Parts: sequence; C-alpha cells; structure tokens
Amino acid sequence: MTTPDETQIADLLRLLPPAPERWTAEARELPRRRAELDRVLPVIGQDQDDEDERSREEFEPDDRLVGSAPGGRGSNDDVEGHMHESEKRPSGHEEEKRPSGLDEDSDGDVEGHMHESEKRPSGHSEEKRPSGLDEDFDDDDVEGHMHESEKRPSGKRPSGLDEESDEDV
Amino acid sequence: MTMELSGITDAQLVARCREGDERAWAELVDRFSRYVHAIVRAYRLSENDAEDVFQDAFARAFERLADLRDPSALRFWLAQLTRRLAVDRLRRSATETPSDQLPEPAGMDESITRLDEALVVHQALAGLSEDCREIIDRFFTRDESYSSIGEALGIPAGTIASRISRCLAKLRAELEGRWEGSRPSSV
Repeated sequence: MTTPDETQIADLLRLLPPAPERWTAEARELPRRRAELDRVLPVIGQDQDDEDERSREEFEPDDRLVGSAPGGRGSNDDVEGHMHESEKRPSGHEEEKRPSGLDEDSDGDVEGHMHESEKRPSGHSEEKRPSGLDEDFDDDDVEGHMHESEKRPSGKRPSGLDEESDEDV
Repeated sequence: MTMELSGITDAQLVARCREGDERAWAELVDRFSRYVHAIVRAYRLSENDAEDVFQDAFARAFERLADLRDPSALRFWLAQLTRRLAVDRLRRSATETPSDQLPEPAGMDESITRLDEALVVHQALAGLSEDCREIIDRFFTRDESYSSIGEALGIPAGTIASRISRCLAKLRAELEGRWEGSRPSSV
C-alpha cells in the first residue's frame, strides 16, 4: 500500500469529522459515572431493603386486631376485648359478658375512639348540624357531638350504634 | 487530547485503562471518538439511534476492555463492537418497519477500510506542530473557511492556503512508515 498523496490525505481527513462534543464528553465520563453508580447502588439496595422491612412491619397482623375478629386468636388484649364488646353490643350480649362496663386495664383512648367511630354516623350530628357534614366540619364538632352521645343513657340505644337507631332516638 | 498519553500505543493505553486510569480512558475516547462516530454515521441511523450506538460502543468497550486478548487490536475490536451495535439497531428498526433489505449497508467493509486509513492519517497529525494540526483539522474536518481559521488562529487569511499545503506535505512525510501498519477492521 503506497502512502497517499496530499489530495488523498485531504479526502481521508474529511472522513473523520469530530463527533459531537456532548457525545464525546459523555463517553469520557463513563468511569466516573460507573464509580458513582457502584457507590450509590448498594445504598439504594439497602434503602429498598429497609423499605421492604418497613412494609412488612406495617402489614404485620396486629394480634389485638386479629384477635378481635370472629374466630380470631382470642387474646386478652384491651382493644380486642373492646372490639368484641362493640360487635356484640347490637345483639344484646354485652352486658352478659361485661356487666361492669369497661375493664380497669382497658385502654381508654382506643376504646373511646372506637366508640366515637362507631357513633359518628349517628343522627345526633344532624340534630346539631342540620346541614349535615360540611367540609369545614372540624374535630371539635365531632368531639362535642360524641361527648353528648356518650352522655345519653345507654337504655336509649338498645339496638346498637347504627345510624337508623340514632335517628330513631 | 491528553499530551503525555497521546504518544503511547493503543496497547499501552489499554493497559492504563485496565488499571483504572481515568485519563487513559479519556485519551482512548479522544483517540477513537471520530472513528466510532464515522462508523455509526455510515449506517445512516437516526440522530438518536446514532448517539445511542456511539455511547453503547464506548460503554461496552469500557466494560469489556479486560476481555480484549490483543490490546494492540483495539481499533479493530472497537470497529467490530460498533458495527454489531449498529446492525442490532438497524435490525430493531427493521422489525418496526419490515424490509427485505439486509440491515448492513452495501459496501460497509470497504467503508470501514477507508475509515481505518482515515484514522491512521488523523493519528499521524499528532506528529505535526500545534499550528499544522489546528489548520488541517479546522479546514478538512471542521469545514471552516480561510477567514474563520485566520481569525481563530490570529494569522492572515491570505496565508492559510499555503500553510495548508505545507502542512499536508509534512503530514504525508509523517505518514511514511505508518501507512503499512494500517489494517482493515472488517467484521
């Protein structure tokens, strides 16, 4: 192969214009980017593991709640006891099982909350707020209402805490 | 181009890259970016596909540099890598728009041989003075006008033509002896 003359050299030179600078710059950065990835990926993997662990914990069955379900584990947890109570209340068995009302060791907050939740749909809120549940219906309103509800003689709510019964009251 | 690395052979460059020398990798990219780019262009890919193939070629080279049995065959290896990636890209496009034509454009082996020769010429530029390199590169590969080159380099535009002629003669002299080492990169 003979060495090309100047014209041929010129032609050959024209065959290799520069690659776009951005492309070349990106290719030059490969080792740095790989090193960065190698550094970051294990951290992301660990974060994902932690996230998975948190998810498992969040969805771990709560013995107190599972036990409260019919056929549940039947632990002697406060909430479970309360949940049984709530469920049984409409059927009239509550007083047979727990004649003294709330257990001493029951969790008042949870229990109170559960009562509230169950009583929330009651028609008493409509007595106080004839317009129904406005968007600006705040916690105080609910709380006030719930206190009131709780003060009602239990004899007036013999059939449980459903909305119809409240309306009846 | 990194000055102290620009003079080393491809095999030495590969060895430095394998040791994790980032500057050596940058030199490898500088040394072959035009070549890889020209191969990609020969396949007439879309701009996006061309860029993908270009980046993939260097990414694969970076990952597999340790597998290169003959480091002095770096150019040949890079050409093969790039061609295969370009053909893969063309096949994928052909799947989207079926065609009876083969994805590899006709005469590609000859085109690559010409690109090999062009690369030898381009690498021979390294043996010239900074002025000659600049003038020749600007005029032949960047298509700049005499006045533009004159402005950029601070020399009268009227002298550019004669300078180019002198530099080409020097380049030809530089090529003597290098030329035989040129080898085609057919797949």
